[in-house]
Amino acid sequence: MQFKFRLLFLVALSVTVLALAYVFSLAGQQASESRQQTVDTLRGMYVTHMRIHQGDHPMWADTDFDDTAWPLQDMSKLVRTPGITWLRQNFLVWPEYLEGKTPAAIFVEGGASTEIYFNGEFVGRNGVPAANPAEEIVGNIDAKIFVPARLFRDANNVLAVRMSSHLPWQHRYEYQLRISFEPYAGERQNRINDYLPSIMLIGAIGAAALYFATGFSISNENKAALWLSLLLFCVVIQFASELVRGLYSYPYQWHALRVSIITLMATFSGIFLNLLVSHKFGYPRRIIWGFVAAQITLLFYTIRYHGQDEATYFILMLGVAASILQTAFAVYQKKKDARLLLVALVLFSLSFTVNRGYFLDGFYYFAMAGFAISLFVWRAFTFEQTKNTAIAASARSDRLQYELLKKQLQPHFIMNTLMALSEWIIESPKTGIKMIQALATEFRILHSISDQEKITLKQELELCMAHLDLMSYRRDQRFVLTADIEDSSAPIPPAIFHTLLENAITHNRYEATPIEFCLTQKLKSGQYIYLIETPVGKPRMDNHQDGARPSGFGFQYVETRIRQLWADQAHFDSRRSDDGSVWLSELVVPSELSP
Amino acid sequence: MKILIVEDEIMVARALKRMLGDLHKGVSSIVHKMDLEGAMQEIETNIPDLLLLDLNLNGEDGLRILSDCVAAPFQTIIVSANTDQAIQAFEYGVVDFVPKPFDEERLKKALDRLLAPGNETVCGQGCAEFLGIRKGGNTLVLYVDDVEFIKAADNYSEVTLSSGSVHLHEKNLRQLLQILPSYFQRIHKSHLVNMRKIEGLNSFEGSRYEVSLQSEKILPAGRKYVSALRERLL
Repeated sequence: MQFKFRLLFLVALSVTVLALAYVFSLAGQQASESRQQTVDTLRGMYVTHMRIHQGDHPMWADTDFDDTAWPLQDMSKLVRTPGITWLRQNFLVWPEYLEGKTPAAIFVEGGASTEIYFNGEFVGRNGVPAANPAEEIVGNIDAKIFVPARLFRDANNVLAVRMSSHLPWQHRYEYQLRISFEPYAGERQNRINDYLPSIMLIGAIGAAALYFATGFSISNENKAALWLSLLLFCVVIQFASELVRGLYSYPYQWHALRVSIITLMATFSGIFLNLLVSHKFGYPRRIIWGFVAAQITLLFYTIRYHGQDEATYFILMLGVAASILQTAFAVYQKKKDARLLLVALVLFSLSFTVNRGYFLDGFYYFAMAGFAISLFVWRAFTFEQTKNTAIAASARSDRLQYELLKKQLQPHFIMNTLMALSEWIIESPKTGIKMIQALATEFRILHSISDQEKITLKQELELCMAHLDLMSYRRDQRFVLTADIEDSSAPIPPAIFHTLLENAITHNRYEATPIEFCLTQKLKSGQYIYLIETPVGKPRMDNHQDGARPSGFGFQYVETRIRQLWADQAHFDSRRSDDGSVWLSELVVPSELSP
Repeated sequence: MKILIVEDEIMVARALKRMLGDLHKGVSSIVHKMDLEGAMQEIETNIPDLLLLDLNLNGEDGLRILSDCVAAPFQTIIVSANTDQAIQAFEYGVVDFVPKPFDEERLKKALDRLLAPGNETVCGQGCAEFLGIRKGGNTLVLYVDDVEFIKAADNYSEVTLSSGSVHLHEKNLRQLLQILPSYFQRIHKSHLVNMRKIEGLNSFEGSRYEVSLQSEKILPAGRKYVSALRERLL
């Protein structure tokens, strides 16, 4: 019931997150479509290609300069070169710009310091380009430059960019310079408002990370909390690194660092996610090294051939795929909660396919926030469950201890014993005293073991002997136990054989004397095999012929004690021997106690 | 007096035998049985005057004897550690419940109750809720509330119900008075009446008395029982 509820809850939550993210991703698509339209209306002024030339000359800003000899450069694949570079492009503009109704803004995004010239006139700059790094004033990663409407011409318009791009270290890798036009809508208003939902998400994930970190610091043994908090911290850092560009236009030289942090955090997220899953299902931690090797290979390949965004995307996918593999194996092994986790992970992995472009900008974090919330809920359930299990275990333990003592103090036992004792005192005071000693011995042993979960077989035998001794006086019959034991230090729950003997004596009428009980213990292939033989007494009037069988409370007591110690690893069975003269109880238990 | 001990604890049985020998000189025989089967056989072949019964016989329920012998002419004293079953035992019409462990004094008290001179007892001493009547091979159960009066018939008793039907019970008046509840009163050497069914006490010249019942029946009342009856009626 509870499992179904949790499953429903997680599915509902995941679907909600997916739906939310899908709506957001649609909104994102629409935004980019409308942006595309704007570009279209600017008649091809979304600058994908520009003519490029190394060197520096003021004339290159001029409208009339003939740049046809310059090669065309794909703007998404610029290569960092020392010195100054010029870029030029001719284009048409939309009539509304010509009518002077709308000024335009040029957005310059990417890794360079730039000066922008429009139809030969300098309109603005992002940093100050220079031939060598020392002289350059480093531009920001994003800049917006105002273009007055008067500068637009109805025929050919010329955009010229003078730029330089230096990194503190020698590094020749491709970078982008994205230049676009939009109607000028004034300076950006409060950016925080735009990013508020994302900041709240960071807050939520961060709170979860702190919560689990605190959990780990309280109990160092709780490794799950450690991996979980590290995973969530990685997500927070990755998300914050993504977000920082929207909130703060940093110098372009920091860009590589920021992107590397994102990839690195994605890599570690995968590691911690898989550590969490393997810890959850009790798989050895060393399997993570195989995963890390796969990650390194993937990183090397994707960064080399596809760029860092791709690398981050694939590395995240690899992490989730590996965790799905582990969980699927756990489902195969019928591990607890494995199916639930598998559903959650598969739902999560679907998000990779919803909108790949939007995934890293938003969806991943929505999903992670959803994941963090689910974990909170899960944690609350587990906490409740753990608490209940602990309470139940303690209650069961207390109850068993109580039952064991009560069994010895039940009226039938104690009153008949006292009655027999008083008769011995009259008939033979010496025997009476011996009986008192036997009673005291049994009570002393019972008292010393009643609060134990397990005792040694030796202690159990002592208890059995004491009981038979007492019963011999009480019934004025001889009760004997022969024991054939291989390992007297074997652990055993208290008073289980004692209960079987007591049960047999209580429910059988034995006429012959001595009455012999037999206990054998064999150690065979990692298991203790106990066989208890109790003779079947005179037939009873109520046809209740299984008198030697542990019934009612006795049976429950033995069952509960065995389960408490060995769970379902123990087998207990009782049957009558073929000739019907003996009741055989067999107990098979592992020789090693599971932790 | 023939006594049957039904007890699975040999030492308790030994104690009972010893104490009975010391306490009561009129014991003609004591038989000890350890289980239900032996006890039932003994009751069938040799009806005792007194049954001393343990309720837990190696897991067998001693009350089964009581339910089977509810119509029997002998009296029963329970000797048991299970005091929580006392009320149930009294409902079956036992004379006393002696909890284990007991001593001679306690056993004597139970025997005294049983052996008290017949005419000293004028009202019910027990808690029986029903009486068993042997009819053919079966036992008919009568609820004591339905009993109007009981008349002596030799060594047996005639039980008359409110409905008017009359049944023969194997216990005599004295034995019945020992197990019936206190609202049964002796009004004559040969009559017990259910006080709840009495309409009135009529006196006549020459110290002659009659009890009239709600059913308009008239029963004789003995002079020596009248004062006790009058006390209770007032």
